[in-house]
Amino acid sequence: MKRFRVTVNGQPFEVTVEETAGPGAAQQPVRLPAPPQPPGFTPQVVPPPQAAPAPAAPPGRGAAGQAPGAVTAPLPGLVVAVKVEVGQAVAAGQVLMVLEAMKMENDITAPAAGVVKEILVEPGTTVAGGQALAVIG
Amino acid sequence: MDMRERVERLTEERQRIALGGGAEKLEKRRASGRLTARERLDFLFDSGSFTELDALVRHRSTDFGLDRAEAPADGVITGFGTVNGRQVYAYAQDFTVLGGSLGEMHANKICKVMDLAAKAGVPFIGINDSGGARIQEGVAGLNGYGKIFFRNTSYSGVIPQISAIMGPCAGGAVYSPALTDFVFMVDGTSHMFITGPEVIKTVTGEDVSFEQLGGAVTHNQTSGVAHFIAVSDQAALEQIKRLLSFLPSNNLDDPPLLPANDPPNRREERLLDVVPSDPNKPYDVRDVILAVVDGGDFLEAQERWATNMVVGFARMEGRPVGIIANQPRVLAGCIDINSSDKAARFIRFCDAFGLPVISFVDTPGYLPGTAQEHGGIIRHGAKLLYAYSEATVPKLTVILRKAYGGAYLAMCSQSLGADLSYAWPTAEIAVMGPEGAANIVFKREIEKAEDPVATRKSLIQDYREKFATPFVAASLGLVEGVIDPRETREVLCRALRSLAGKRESRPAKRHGNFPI
Repeated sequence: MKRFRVTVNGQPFEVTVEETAGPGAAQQPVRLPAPPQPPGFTPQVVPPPQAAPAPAAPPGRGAAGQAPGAVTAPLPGLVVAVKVEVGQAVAAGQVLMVLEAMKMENDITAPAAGVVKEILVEPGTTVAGGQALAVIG
Repeated sequence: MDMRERVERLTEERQRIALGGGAEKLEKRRASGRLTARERLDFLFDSGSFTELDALVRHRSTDFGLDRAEAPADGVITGFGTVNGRQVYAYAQDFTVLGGSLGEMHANKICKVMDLAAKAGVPFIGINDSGGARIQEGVAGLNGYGKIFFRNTSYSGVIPQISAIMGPCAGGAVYSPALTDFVFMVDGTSHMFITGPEVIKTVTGEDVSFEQLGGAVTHNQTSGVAHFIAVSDQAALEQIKRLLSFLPSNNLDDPPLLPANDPPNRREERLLDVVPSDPNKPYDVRDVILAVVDGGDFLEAQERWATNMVVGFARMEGRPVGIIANQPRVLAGCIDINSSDKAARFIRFCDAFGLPVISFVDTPGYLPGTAQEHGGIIRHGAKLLYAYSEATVPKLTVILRKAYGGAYLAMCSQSLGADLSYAWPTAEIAVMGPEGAANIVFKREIEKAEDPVATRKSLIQDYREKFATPFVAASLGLVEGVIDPRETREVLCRALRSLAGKRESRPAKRHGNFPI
């Protein structure tokens, strides 16, 4: 139980606030610049039996230190599918292509919303780690 | 002068000190969307609980005009109070007083509350907002940093130490936060670096902004120096309170227990569909974590850095636990330099403070490449082995899918001391992946075959069916059971209950030689 004095238009009010659950249970959702989500990740929250804070991840900025708009290969691998076309508008996190690497079909996603300016590879292209795959503008 | 007059003077003096660098400067900070040092402490602590210490401390330097400089509280507010009812010691540097610069007495004040926090066995929180060393005080101020570093180290693993960066934190000042357990940064207003943009420009010719060099995004995403990012001072302080809700007050105390209002035997049907049966398909391991822990309540640390490994805090039946998981969606879940560092440090924190660790495993192995080898993956990967082996808290492992070779061992295998480990039916526990193994084991057969491609394919398939399963490991007792994914929560809750009183010791030593 906490007491606060709130003054509205010069008039003081005594307010009593009661905590209904233990520490950490009643948290304000915190607005954050979006973390670089793993490809295709949509924050999913289990229907909470108790009030659990939803990890809110609204739009933010893309990865720092990259050439503007260039989407690069996180791993050396083989492009197995290209899912967008030049000129197409894409949303942040949308899958642009699939890169098979380490025996995994890794989704390559748009770091930010934009339009596909260039696609630099095609299915069957072998790419090095860090190689540019597409340009989003 | 009678008592009343004296008390009146004292009150006036206190009010003057409470104004820090003056009403005007405080207002300017509020206008920029930041809290003042005192407001930060008021926001952190339960209403009215903060008790200030050493408000009357003054610096004793007379050089370079400092004798005329007014420095209320010497630029740092120190004290104690309660956070959600639990005792905590803290300091907050006041940027409005000589730029929050750290001098001899400023440092002494900080050291005093650190010592008190350690004696009392309660968490310690430092709110950093300082231009750096108070140059006018010379080596006396510099010496202050050293005394703080020494205490950060001495109390590491004794009490949780948390740093909030809410302004500049440059040069030597960065190493106190670096020595603490968790670093919080406020986006846009906090910066950490050893040498600033101007020095860098002079020495290397590089042009870099404050934000790019050492902003909250940089340290949460690129360097891994920080663990949490927040949009405002208030949001960062809320995050700190949330983190504290998972932590014991000291290494001998039990972590805070919440009422267990999520049934331990809750079955999760959707766990049947989270992990694709095709081992080449990625998924988000956080879907598994959220489904298993109490109320889907998971506090992820370093959620933007080394994202191929997920670490964070959750509760099982109301008891805090640490979670470590490979993330198949990023770098195929490979273990690399940064993810080894990230997980190892987190495991050591959990072990120091008695939090059981639960590991979810799905990794094809270590990330190949010269960048990794030359970057010292051998040295860094060893940290993960060391941290898991060294930990004596209850250790549980669930193998979801791939667990191959050295990476299988590294992810808290039974041989590294997992107390109880389980596998899902999709688990592939083997010395290496079927493709690689078939190439080695059946090298001659494939070479001699009329149709090497088809032979290789069929031999890979044979190998996969025989060895890329949890059953060989289970038959050797290397996992305690193969479980229905829907029952994961119940299995883990029971296992944790059984290990609640775990005692395990290692040979007495000064300390091990952690592969740093």
